[in-house]
Amino acid sequence: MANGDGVVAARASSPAVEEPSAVVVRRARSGERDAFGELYRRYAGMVHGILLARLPRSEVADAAQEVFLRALRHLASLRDDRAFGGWLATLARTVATDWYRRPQRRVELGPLPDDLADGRGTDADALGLLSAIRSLPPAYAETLLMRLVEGMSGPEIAERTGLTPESVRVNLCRGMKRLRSALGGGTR
Amino acid sequence: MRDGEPYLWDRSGERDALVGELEEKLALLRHEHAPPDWDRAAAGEAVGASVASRRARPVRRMVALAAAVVGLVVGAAYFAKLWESQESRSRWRVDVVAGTPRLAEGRLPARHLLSAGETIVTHAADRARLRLAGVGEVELAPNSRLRLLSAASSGRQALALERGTIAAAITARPQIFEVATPGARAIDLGCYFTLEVLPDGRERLRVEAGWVALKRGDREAFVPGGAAVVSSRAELGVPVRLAARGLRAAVDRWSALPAGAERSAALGAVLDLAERDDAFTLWHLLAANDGDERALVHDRLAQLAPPPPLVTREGVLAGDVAMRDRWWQSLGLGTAGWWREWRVAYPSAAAR
Repeated sequence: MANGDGVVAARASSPAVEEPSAVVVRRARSGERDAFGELYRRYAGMVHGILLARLPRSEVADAAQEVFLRALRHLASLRDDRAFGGWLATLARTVATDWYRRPQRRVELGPLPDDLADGRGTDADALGLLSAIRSLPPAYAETLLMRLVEGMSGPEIAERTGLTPESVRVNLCRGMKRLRSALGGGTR
Repeated sequence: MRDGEPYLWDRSGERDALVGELEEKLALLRHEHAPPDWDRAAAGEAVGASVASRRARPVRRMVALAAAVVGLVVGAAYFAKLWESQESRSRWRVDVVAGTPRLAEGRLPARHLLSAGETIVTHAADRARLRLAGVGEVELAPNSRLRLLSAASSGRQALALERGTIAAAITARPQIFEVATPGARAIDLGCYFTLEVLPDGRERLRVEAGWVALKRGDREAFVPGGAAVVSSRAELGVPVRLAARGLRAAVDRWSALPAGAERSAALGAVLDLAERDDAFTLWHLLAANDGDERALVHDRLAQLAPPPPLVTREGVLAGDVAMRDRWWQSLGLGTAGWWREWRVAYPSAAAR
């Protein structure tokens, strides 16, 4: 049954089974705020990984929020609910690009130092590793950050980004190979 | 399938030691932010202030106005304070690492905050370190001279290395930090690098990680981590992988020769030694050559890394920059586009 009631009933009867993202997107488009919250929960890691590959760390949280707010406002323009992940990934890259196109903002509001960015403190090793990953081609850097920072598995990255599993596997393996080489086989 | 790849893919199989270590160290950077308030976000556009104000009574409007004025005053004071504190931590602080580095103008005070125009000088036993929060760290080696060019409030950080060596570890976003030398400008794209101005006038840049862009006149070079470039007084060098020793020697020989048959032969040796990983070196040689020599470079580069659609031999040989950029993008090394965007965003700086 494809109507909204059927979907709700299915969720209620089997809470352990994750609702397909396309269904959640449809619910979000119909105005269910909790559905958008669910999309945020599922896709925040992907968006964070994409932004972390491109922006100073101190800017990533604000940029991630901007990505989801834009998505919320423009969700109606998405034609294929199954394409939400790829659409959101493109939106995240656009937000990152826009950030670099704002010279006024860059001049007036310099980023916080990375180690003060979110009050959690940051190990120098982590920042060094982040820098090494950012030096890789963007496709490798994004995928590796989703895997190593956000803790997503390869199949999960494929499902979220809309990339084929094979593409994700290639990005992970080639990116990791380059990273191994850059780190000389270890992180110390 | 290589050992460790199942673990990298879905954490199955035997734990890959490096992947596991990276997971542990990088978890600190994981996304942990609360979601936005969707209702307020959506309502922000839908609930027009004009509708609300039409319904408000005059007294409530007066109270709201007074509150707004107080808010503005408090806000202005807060931002003035914030601006002041930003200023105090947006200047390079100089620390002595060894010996007695000096300012060109006199003694170097302890924990000195560098002002635009000031120069630090080191002699044989001296080392100094410059730090700037949010930008990074620069260590000045013995027998060096380094000047701060731009005020921090400009948002960009420019130093001039007049002689000697610096090692820079830059954490700022790309294109914020740059170093001018007598022969070129090195623009940081997020990396660790060493830059030397040698007594004979040559300049050597070695990039450990990330990217550095070099600019001289209308020539530019992009140097990735694990590569180095040596420029002479006469021309910008061509970056080469540090590991490709034979190729580096061949490029050095080629660049030291004047135009003529011998230089053409040296170029042939460079092309013979180049491998697929050296495609970026050949890409730079396209701009560094013209005529028949550019054609030779094109043909060898096309063998190692075939040009993408819309990049034609005729166009590349004619010096079509857009085609060259497309070819660069197809090499999988990142885009050259940010460089040109930067020139649009900062025309005055680019013209300097």
